Amino acid sequence: MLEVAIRKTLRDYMLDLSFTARPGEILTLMGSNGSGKSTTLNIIAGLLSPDTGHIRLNNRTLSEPVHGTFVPIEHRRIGYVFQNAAVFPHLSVSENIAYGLRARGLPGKEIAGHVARLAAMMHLDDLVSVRASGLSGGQKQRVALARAIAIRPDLLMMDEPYSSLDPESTEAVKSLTRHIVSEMKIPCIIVTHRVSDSYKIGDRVLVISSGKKEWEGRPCDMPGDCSVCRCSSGNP
Amino acid sequence: MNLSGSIPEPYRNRIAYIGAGILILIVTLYLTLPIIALFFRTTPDLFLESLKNPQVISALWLSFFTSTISLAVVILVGTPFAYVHSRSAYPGKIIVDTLIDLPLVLPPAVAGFALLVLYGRMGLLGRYFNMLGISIAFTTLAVIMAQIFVASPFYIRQAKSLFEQFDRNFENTARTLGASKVRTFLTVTLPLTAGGLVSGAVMTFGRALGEFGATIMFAGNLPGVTQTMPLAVYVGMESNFTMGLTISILLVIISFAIMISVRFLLKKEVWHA
Repeated sequence: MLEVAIRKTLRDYMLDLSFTARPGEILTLMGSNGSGKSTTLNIIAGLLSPDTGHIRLNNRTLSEPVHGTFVPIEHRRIGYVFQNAAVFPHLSVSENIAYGLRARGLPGKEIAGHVARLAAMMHLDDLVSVRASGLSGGQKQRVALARAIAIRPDLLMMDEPYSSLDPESTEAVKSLTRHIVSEMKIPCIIVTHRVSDSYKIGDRVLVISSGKKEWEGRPCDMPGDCSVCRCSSGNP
Repeated sequence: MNLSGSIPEPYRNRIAYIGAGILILIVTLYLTLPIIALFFRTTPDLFLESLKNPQVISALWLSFFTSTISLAVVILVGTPFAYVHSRSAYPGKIIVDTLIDLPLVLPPAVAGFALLVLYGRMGLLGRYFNMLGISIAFTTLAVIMAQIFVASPFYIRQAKSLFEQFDRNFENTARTLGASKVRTFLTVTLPLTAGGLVSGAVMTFGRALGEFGATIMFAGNLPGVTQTMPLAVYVGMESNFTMGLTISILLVIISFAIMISVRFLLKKEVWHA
């Protein structure tokens, strides 16, 4: 369970948000450019510190300035897929997936097993030895996703994961994300500015504007056409 | 009166092409003719014979030795400095930026003179070194210090600019995956900026190899101790023309190789996500 209640003074406004995300739930964070979506993810990841408030993940406090609590980025166990995937171009697909496992000092045999399993799950079996710089946008996104979940995170966060993908790759990544979140039973936050993404993949939607919560609820309760909504298809 | 309007289109294009061609020719010849002239003043036999001259060998060896040491120091100190400097905001950062670049525009003779004033036997710091029995000026160490002083901005500027432009999402990703700051730098930042860093290093090596003004002022011109290749060229011009010519040709060949490698390495400078 992720519990967030943070305040941070930004250049143009005060970010002031409270929300939760349950295990196995996908929360889509929506809002226009500059509304504070990516900043919120960066605060949760530990790349930025909130001024006040707290961030708790599975009852573990990650940030709480009033008590001087700040768990370093590398110890938060958060899988974070950045915008444009940020796949390491100088490494192969398997080396990318193994990166976090190597950083944790896992034995080589164990790493190889994890990498093979994840590559198969992400349909990357044929690409494991390919240098990541030569991959397509969809393939990069799948590598980034595999790399993020390889560390068995307690939370998965994805920043605009579909922005540079074609419709086919978008559907593939969405379906993989849904499968992973259900399997691993971890909360997931997806930042998007497309309403259709929230309808199709989100269990819950949080709309923010200038750092404040504007709307929160189920995608099918959002104003507009929700004929493609997950909750209306009987799969909440 | 509109002159261009009175010239038919095909002729106007032809005149423009000829004009551009002449301009390119003049600039290229001005920059390369003196270098070509060096090759016309010697023969392959004379060149090879002169390469056996002990003074040439000594200058060659000393130049490569001192330039290599200078480069190693610049890389070892300059890389972490450029990284920390590019990633931190502190009061006076702009002033530090300007001071670092100063040796680029400072006349090398002034640089050498300044080093002498600081580290010379009676210099501000030199007198204390002297009391400890350490003499810096007019030694091989002085050659290295002069080279570091004039050549380090080439590497530091390049490294700073690479680290500033570098896509931080690569580093942030590595950190969220559990990598420490040092591991992130060594496994992500460094490999992805290596092409640009190496090209900066090559330029630094070239500048150190060609250093003359600061060296002659601060280190003197002692064969085998402080007489590097450019200094030997200077001596050659006065007393042994063939030796000067041989070393000059060697320096031209090395400089050309340096420029070619820099062009090649700069092609793969910065990666973006």
